Amino acid sequence: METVFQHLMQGFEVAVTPINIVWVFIGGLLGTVIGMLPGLGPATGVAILIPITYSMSPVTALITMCAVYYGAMFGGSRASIMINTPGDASAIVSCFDGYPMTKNGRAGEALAISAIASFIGGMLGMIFLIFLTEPVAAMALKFGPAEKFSLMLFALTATVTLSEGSIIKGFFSMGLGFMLSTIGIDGQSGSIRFTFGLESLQDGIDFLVAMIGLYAVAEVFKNYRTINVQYDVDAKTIGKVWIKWTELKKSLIPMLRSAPLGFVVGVLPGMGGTIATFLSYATEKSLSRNPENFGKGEIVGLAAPESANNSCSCGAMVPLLTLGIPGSGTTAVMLGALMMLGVRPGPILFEQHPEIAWGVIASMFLGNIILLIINMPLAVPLVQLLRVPQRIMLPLILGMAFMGTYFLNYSSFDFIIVSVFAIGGYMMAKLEIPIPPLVLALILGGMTEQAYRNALVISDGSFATFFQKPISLALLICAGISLIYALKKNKKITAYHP
Amino acid sequence: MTKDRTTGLASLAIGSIYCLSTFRVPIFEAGDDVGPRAFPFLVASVVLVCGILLLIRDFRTAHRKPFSWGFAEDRRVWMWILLTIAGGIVYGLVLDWLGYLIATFLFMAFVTFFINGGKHLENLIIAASFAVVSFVVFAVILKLSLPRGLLSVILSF
Repeated sequence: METVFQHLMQGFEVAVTPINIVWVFIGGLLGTVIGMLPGLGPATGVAILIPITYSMSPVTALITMCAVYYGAMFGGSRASIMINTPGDASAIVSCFDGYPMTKNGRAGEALAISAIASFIGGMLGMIFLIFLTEPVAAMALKFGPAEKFSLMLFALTATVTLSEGSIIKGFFSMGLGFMLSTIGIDGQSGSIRFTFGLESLQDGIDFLVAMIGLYAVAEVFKNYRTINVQYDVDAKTIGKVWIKWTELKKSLIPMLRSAPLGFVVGVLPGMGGTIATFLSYATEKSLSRNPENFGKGEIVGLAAPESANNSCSCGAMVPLLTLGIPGSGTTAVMLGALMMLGVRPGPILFEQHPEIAWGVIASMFLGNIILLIINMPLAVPLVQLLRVPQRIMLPLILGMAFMGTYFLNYSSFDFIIVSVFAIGGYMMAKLEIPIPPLVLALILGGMTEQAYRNALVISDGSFATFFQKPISLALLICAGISLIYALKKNKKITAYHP
Repeated sequence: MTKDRTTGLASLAIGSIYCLSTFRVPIFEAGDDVGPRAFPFLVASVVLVCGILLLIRDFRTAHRKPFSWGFAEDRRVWMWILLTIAGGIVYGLVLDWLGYLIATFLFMAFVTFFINGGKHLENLIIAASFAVVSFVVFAVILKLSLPRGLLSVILSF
């Protein structure tokens, strides 16, 4: 316990410098703006804002990226509340009661409780995160290649089975991600694989270039359909962004209850903010004395999922920081950004560079406070941005996406790669093929293959090694359970909707 | 053609090409015993199985919903997508030669021209502001190296 506090204090020493505070503010503000724009979620925000960190020291860069990630989480629900259009899937639930509150002339209260709930959820999530990281990292240090392979298999299977959409298409998407990850020079044997004679592909496909294509540019393509939509946000009708004590008191217990729920969901791979917010909403509705008020502007119906969502985003940082395994598209982009900055998250990070790992954790505390400040007094000017027409917003996002791509490697060949991924992402969306499994497999592909081959080399080619080691076996059983659960769930859905 | 059938056929095509390409991966004496082909074969088999399962599911579905890419009804969207990609690739090709400022201005003017329609003055202002502001932020304030191209004489800092 003492060492946890010591490490955290050390983290604060690293994080709390004037320059870092300024960047947390800027990163949080930019993240809030991007997270707020309809259709552009946190993954897009993190992907296109990476270039701002290029000239920074690794710690400042990491702290800024975390602020962007966190800001996008805060901002996601602004559009749900104001214009009934969620910034990303995890903000869908905020539409249920947030928008009715706005229609009832309580937009100021809705914006205030959303920021306060995000703050409370985030703070509680941070506390859980602090106590969970050390034991998980210590356990992960004992993992050999067989355990690592099984862990990644479990994380990917869970992402396929627990996320929305068809399971078979999810596995196809995962396969595509693995295929893309094998392009380039094989690190273990030196063979050049699947480059089709193109020299530019020898170093493999840059994960972040793929991300910008799949998320940012493909999202712009999707929004081409709704180009003429003009959102009406009137600052005068918002009123004061504040909340009465009685309303806050009413929401307090639901917010506190939803935070641990959101956190647990966040730690599990594949179960992101969408599931956390829906679960929290359903729980509060069933516990409420007036469930009939839900959906009509019930403040608890907005406060609880907001708290769960931000706590969930802290939970998602546990496997990311301690195991180096992302559980969603957004955390995968975060992992890509960290790796680009030369930081390899995982148990070794906590052992060799505790100042970086704990500096990031401490900065998230700081970020949470700064974001509350951004989202309360600045809420009214920020939501005005929703009035910017799509016709102007989309070219700006395209400009940032292509500029971000160029900054990654200063290679114009990447413009072709980004275009291929953008059109691929658009076609996948049309065919209802989920994108997160591809993203996760692409970033984890190299490590998965390495662990697979190392495990087989150690066991002289025997596959029994994956079943003989207890942790590996347990993880494979978990993967099996998630698959069986998903198949049963699918059968039930098919039975109701043949 | 349904979504399942389209995805299934794509799975089989991609899986087969990948599987055949795996046979062409050179194996060297050096390196581990498992070799560079083992994992790709595993992945190819997963994708091929997915393709077969999708086709079986499609075959067994009683009321198939036809799927369309929307080339006719969403003609404008597809046209814009093609224009964006073409514009992006040309932007990449001329970036070093023209320099960041001019190339970015031209790219932004091009995309705003078809997305934002005939408001030429507004489009030119957006394009110029984006190019100048991003150049100042990244090249001047954050001191990142950006190609100066044709303007290298004026922007020689």
